Amino acid sequence: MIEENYNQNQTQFSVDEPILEKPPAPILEDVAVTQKKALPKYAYLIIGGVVFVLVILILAVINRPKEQIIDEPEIVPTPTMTQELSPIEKKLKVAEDMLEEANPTTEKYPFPPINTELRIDESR
Amino acid sequence: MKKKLLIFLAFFGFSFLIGGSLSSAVAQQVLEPVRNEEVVARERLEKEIEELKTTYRGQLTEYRDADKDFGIAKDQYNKLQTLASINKVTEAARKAFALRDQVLITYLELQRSRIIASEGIELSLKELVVKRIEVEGRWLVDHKQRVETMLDRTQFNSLADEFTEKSNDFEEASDQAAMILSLGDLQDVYDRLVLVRKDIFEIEAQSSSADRTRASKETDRMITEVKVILEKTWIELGNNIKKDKTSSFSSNKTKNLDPIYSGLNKTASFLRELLREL
Repeated sequence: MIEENYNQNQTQFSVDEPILEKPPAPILEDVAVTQKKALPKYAYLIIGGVVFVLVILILAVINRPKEQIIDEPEIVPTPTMTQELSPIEKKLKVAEDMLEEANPTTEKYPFPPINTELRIDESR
Repeated sequence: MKKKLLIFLAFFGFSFLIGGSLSSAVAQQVLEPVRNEEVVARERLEKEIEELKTTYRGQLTEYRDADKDFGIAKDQYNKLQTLASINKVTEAARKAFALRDQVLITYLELQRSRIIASEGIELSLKELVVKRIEVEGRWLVDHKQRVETMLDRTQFNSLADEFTEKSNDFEEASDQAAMILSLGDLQDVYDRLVLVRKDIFEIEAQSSSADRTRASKETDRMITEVKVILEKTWIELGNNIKKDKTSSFSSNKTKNLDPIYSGLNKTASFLRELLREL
């Protein structure tokens, strides 16, 4: 019994088992390629649109908490920032600005710094 | 299908462009107010003043350079006394003299335009000073023309002497202009503060308390005080201008105008307080 199972050929190794004798696997690639259908153009547009909307949504979600953080420190508005000047206040402001400009200690256009005694020869 | 889409897009874009341009044109027509001649003239004058300021600054820089060159040429002439140095100094003098005249012409023109544009100056005084400035301006234009055509060195010396003798007149005209401009500015502020006071008075008439009445009286008293000083100062300045003796008034400018300036500052702060309490 043992003798029947044991291979008597001393030159044949176990690795040389008849692997190649197994039937080759069928090539499925060609079948898959033939089965795929080309997508219509509008499908790409739809996919693009969906991706775009998703990106927008993601960006919106990312930006949302930042806005909240910015809103948190409440800036105390100064009266000049929020309150619009009334017509009388505007008139007064213009007059005050003009008064500042009209300070008599400053001269906007003094007499030009020219030499009034230019002469080629010194003696007259 | 593709063709239809393209046509639709092209039509949409075209109508958007046309619509945009049409709406902006209509909006411009609606928003642009009908400007009267006075406003147009004022705008033109303000533009002219700005241009004169720029020109004046440029000419002053040019003159300074020419004056420096003239100084160098004059030193050379005094040292060397050669024909070449005489030629050089004469040409340097021509340039410096002409630029000096031009600087003064532009300066007086600038002051003249500022006086015309000023709202706080009495018309008779305005005309008086403007005429004075124009007289000096004409003299300078003539002097500049002679400088540009003069050839002889000795004639240059006589032109230089003419200018030196006239310099007091230029300074007088400049003082007159500067003084009426300064006082005119203060008068303008006063007029505006009076208008503000009138507006406040109209609101006060509807309701008033004892405190407010007292504050209003103080403000009115201050306005009257400033008015009195202003009138007095105008009379004094007018007399000085008529006599062509504005230099002393001008050298005491701060002393003469400071009471008005402080009074106006106080009036403005009183008015602001009144407004706050309304």
